[in-house]
Amino acid sequence: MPGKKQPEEKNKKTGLFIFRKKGLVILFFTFLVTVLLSFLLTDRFIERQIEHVLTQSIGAKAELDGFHLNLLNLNAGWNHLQVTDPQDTWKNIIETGKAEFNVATEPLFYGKIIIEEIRLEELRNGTNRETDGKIPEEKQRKPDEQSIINSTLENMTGQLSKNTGIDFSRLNKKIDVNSVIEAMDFQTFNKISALRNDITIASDRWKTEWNSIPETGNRLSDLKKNIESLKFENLKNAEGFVRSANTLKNSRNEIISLENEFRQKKQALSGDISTLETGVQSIDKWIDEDMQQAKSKANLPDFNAENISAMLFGEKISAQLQKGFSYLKLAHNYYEKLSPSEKIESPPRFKGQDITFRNQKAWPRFWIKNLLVSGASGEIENDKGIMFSGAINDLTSDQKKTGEPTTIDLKGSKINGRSYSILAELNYTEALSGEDITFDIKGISLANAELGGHEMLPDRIRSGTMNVSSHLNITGGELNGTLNLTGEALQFIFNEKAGASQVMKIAGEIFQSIDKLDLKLKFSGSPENLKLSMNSSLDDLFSSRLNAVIGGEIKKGRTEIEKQVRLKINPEKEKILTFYTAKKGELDSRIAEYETLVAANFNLIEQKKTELEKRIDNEKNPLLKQALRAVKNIMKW
Amino acid sequence: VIFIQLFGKIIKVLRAGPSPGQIAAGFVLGMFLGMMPVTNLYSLLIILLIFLLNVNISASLLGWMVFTLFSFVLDPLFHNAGYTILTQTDLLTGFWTKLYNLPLIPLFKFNNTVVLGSFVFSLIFAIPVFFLFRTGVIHYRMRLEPRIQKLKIVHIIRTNKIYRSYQKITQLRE
Repeated sequence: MPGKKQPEEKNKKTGLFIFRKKGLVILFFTFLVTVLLSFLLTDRFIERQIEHVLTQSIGAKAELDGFHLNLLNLNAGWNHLQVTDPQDTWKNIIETGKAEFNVATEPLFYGKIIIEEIRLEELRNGTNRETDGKIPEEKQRKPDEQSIINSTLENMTGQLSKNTGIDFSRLNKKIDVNSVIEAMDFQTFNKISALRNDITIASDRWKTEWNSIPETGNRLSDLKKNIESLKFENLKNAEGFVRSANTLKNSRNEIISLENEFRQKKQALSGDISTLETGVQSIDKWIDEDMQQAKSKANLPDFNAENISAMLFGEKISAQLQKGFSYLKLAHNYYEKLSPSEKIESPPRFKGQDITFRNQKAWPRFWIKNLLVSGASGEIENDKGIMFSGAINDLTSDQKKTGEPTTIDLKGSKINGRSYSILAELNYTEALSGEDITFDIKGISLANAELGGHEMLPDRIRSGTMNVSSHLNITGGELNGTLNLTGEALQFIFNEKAGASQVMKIAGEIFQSIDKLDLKLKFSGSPENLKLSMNSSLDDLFSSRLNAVIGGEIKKGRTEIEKQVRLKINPEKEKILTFYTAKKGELDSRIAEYETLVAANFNLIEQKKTELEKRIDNEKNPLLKQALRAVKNIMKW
Repeated sequence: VIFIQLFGKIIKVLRAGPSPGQIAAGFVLGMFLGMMPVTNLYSLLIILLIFLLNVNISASLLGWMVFTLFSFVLDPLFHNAGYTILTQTDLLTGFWTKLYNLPLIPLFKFNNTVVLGSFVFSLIFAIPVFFLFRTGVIHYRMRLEPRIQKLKIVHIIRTNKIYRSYQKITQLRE
């Protein structure tokens, strides 16, 4: 077509130019837009990612402001970071100002952030927030009910509070055994009544079974009479001998059959007897159970040295442990959230299979090799916080890739001289994870510290200091821990009620006589099977004094309860035993009667058999004697 | 409608316009794309090449459609080939490991058995398909096209009023 360029002509003009001009322009603009967008949005994107990961792992809002990543000089940083305390969402667990750090180049190409060192110099803990840092319910991490920390805490709290429910005020009054006995609902009576019912039912069944036995007895008597009537002296012919031998044999067979029938019935009855026998033998156990219940109702404590510490300090220690473990739970949550799941999915059909090769540059998603922190807790203006500094090494999203456990070494102090130190190793490098944490506090001033909450403890401490030293090791689900509290130069203040009762008087005297107190808590084992022991320097003092003064009273109370319980239950026990013995005796005598009758019949048959054999041997007619040899064969059994 | 339009464009391209080489090259790139069942950076690169290189896009679309149908049947074969090359060939293990550890390269999903298998098959068939298709286009233009033009049915269509109106509208649009 004239005037219109043909495509061939266009190609000739472009010659060997293999690129489409329009394509190149589009590519250039796409590249430009991508660079521009990444320049504008990357910082905000990374900022949001960091906020999201922190929020999810902590369980409360984390806010990062002014994050910037400079890809030209590989520098990154932020202006402000605040992470809410999940326990109190109007406070921050961490707040820090400006931070700058260098990012390793090569890992960035693989989407990994590796930081050699970050220095956070104005880190603060416990600062107030302007807004609530609570996150909506649906975004909150579901509580991990089955975690090792939860199970351990549950078990420890249970064990520590087990011995604390003693009402010491009751010890001051005289133990009123009668009112305890009256308030008791003795289970032994119900159980004995049920046993009596069982015996009656069984006895009725025995009677029904026995109704068929008289017939057997009559038949046995008839057989006896029949056998006794057999006379062999006057037998003259072979028929007479044969008839007598057959009568003996048939009678014997019938007795055997009756004996078998009797044995079966006896067997059925012996099952009943064995069940009832077990019930009768359990009566003493039932009485013991009731006795224990009565004692526990009387609330008579056991003043063993092992129980004293748990009685005095169990609840307070339990509360402190909950607080301490909540921080460890945070570390757990953090690693659970960041660690990549090891779930291996099977490839879907026709989508192929991804073959993995050895990762020569196995960097984790992020890795801060050295985090140097220094800061303070609480509001700056109040100046009450702990000034702390230290290092956190190898903080990473995947320890299996770095091969290095996260270590924490922080030291802190307060103006009043109190010092803190935490040394921890969180090791998840291998399948068998392990945590080893040592936490010490020295120089805690106890002036005016409240001790109230237990009637045996002083109200407050006038003066004194305390050191706390704790260690926890968790390896492969097994725990091992100690908590030592040492109080020195102690002086106690007692409340107005002190000395009102004998127990309080003793407690007051003991606390006045000491100026040092050691409390040790040890635990080991798996969360489900945790062995826990708590002892203090007060244990022996309390145990010996309490046992000497009120131990006798408690012992007397116990003996009295035992006596009263037996007095109440024993008549019922005697009655049921008599009832059972009578019913069983009845059965036993009837069984014995029939056994005697059967034995007598068997004896009689054997006696008559011998008589008949003798008569055959004495037969004078040689022909008849010869024929009677066959009769002897009839009586071979 | 899209398919009819595409069919129309392909017929038009076959008759005249781009060189047979451009059409064949477009078809081969379409084949690379169609054989690949998994979307990844590799597919994106092929699409980029189709738009960037002076190849025929309609032919690429044709190649993509034809070989997508083939790939449904050939997937097990691609998987077996890819699996053998990735895991059973000891000589190449070092090479794959190096590629696997390079930045961005793993995004091409070369370590997927179907991706690698289909890529190898596409490479093997690229040159034969290119020359076969190119020869086919030349053969069509020189021998088949004049014969088709002489067919009575074509004559009837051309003299049809609707077809003429369509031709006029097309010319005006161009």
